[in-house]
Amino acid sequence: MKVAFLSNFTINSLPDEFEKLCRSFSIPIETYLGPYNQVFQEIINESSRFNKFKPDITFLLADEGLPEILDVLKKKRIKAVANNLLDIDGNHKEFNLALSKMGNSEINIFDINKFCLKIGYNTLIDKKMYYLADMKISFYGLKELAKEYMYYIFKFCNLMKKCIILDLDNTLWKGIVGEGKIKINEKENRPFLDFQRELLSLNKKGVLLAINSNNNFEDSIKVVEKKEMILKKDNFASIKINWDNKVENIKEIAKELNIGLDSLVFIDDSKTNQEMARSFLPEVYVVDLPEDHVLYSNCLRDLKFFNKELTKEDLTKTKMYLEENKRKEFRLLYKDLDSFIKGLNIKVTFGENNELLRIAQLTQKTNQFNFTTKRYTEDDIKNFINNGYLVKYINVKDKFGDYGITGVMIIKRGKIWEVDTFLLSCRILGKKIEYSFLKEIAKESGGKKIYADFIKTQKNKPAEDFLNKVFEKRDNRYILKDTGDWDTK
Amino acid sequence: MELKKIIANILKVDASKITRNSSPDNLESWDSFNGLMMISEIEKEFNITFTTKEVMDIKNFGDIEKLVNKKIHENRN
Repeated sequence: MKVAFLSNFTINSLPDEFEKLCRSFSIPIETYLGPYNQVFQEIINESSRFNKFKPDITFLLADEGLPEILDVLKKKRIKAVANNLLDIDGNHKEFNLALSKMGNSEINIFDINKFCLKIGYNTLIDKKMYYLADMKISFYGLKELAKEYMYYIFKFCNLMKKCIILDLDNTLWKGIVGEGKIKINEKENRPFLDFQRELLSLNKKGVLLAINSNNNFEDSIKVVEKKEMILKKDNFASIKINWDNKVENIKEIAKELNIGLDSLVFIDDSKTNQEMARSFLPEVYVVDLPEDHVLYSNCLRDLKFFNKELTKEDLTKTKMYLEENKRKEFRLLYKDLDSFIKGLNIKVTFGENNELLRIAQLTQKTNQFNFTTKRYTEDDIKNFINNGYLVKYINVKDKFGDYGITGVMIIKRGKIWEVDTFLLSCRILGKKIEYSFLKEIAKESGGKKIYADFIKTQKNKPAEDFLNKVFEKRDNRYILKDTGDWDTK
Repeated sequence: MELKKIIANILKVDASKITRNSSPDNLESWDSFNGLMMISEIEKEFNITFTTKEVMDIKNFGDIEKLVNKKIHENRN
């Protein structure tokens, strides 16, 4: 991971702070700090050290010439994060508003005003250092800024977390169920309720929540269902309240929600449980919860690997998982898969060349049913469309609910059709939807030969299995069989 | 933390190498930026504040030592 910093004031300690942080998350990193006040030259001069360095992401701390710089960055397709102007006297309101509209999937605008609200103007700026060394942000400010910037690194490296697994007693509320009455409304529970509010706000942004608690199910669930609770039972996509080992529970939850261990965060007040999860499940991020529970919500807010951008599917994610549980129960009523699928009343509708954000998001996140695992930004998708590619997606519904946009194909149309990307979200796998999708494409091509690329990864076995059923290998490429020859078992 | 250690940490040199006469002239890593970083760390560590003039007047480690002692003394009174 290569990270560059360009600035028209002094930020010399920032790359160091940043490297330290990345190392603590085991993210390999190399940094480059551009020379003082030469932002524009560095970017436009092809032989500059900045251009030779070829950063994956560039952090831009400039307080002049921003729109022009962003234009050049956009043209050169450099991924960057730029700060807006600090607006302490309200003079830059319009400028910042215009700036925020310049952002796209490659140019991110970091809101330094919000950041200033968090750490305070007098800490963000040390006037002495400002006048002595043209440091427009203090040493402390740069250190804190590095922490905020980590968000973009997690995002870029696909290290965003998808689910928080929570203990109950002394984590979501004060006290232990079975050892006295839990009174959610009492003053001593205020910090826990704030913590719950913070969790709820993440849940609303598409982060799944799950419970992993050692207690009697009937006793604990009664507390979860109390009306004073901020988090309701339905906010949890999976609930494990039992006397099983918590490590096993975590594995179960991952399986149930169909997400990798490396997308999980575990929060438990017990140091023993934390240690156990850390040593047996090193992929899981185990939060080092502060000793003092009044600091829980701050601790959570400081974790930067949760989603900030929203799509419609993110908003309803928990609901979808709950619907999935109902489907599973329903499935038990059927003797075989085909009759189950029939009973679901699946409705697939097709769309094309819009919903770019969601499509880009699917290419970023889908691992299992993904032919090529090519990751694209919203702009990449836009370029495909502008270059005449067919960007087709599916919308899936069944009798239990709406899955939303959950499958994408990107196809180069010519004398033959070439499939660049074919993916389905894991949420709709096992329902033979891939067949209907492909059938629709075959129909639309008007009988043209359809070729697909396939790139094997550690995770895309489901895609490979399907590939072998409906494509045949010819000269290192895969060509779609006639629908009559498909293996639909 | 001891004053010498703070400075040694920032300059990435051994604390024993730092004497009263240590200055940007004889310690290569003591450039103007590291100099300010020292000031910032010292202010935080000892809970004191230097004025801009005081910072500009610092010539060597001996000056820093004197200044810190003076400030700590002022704080006590």
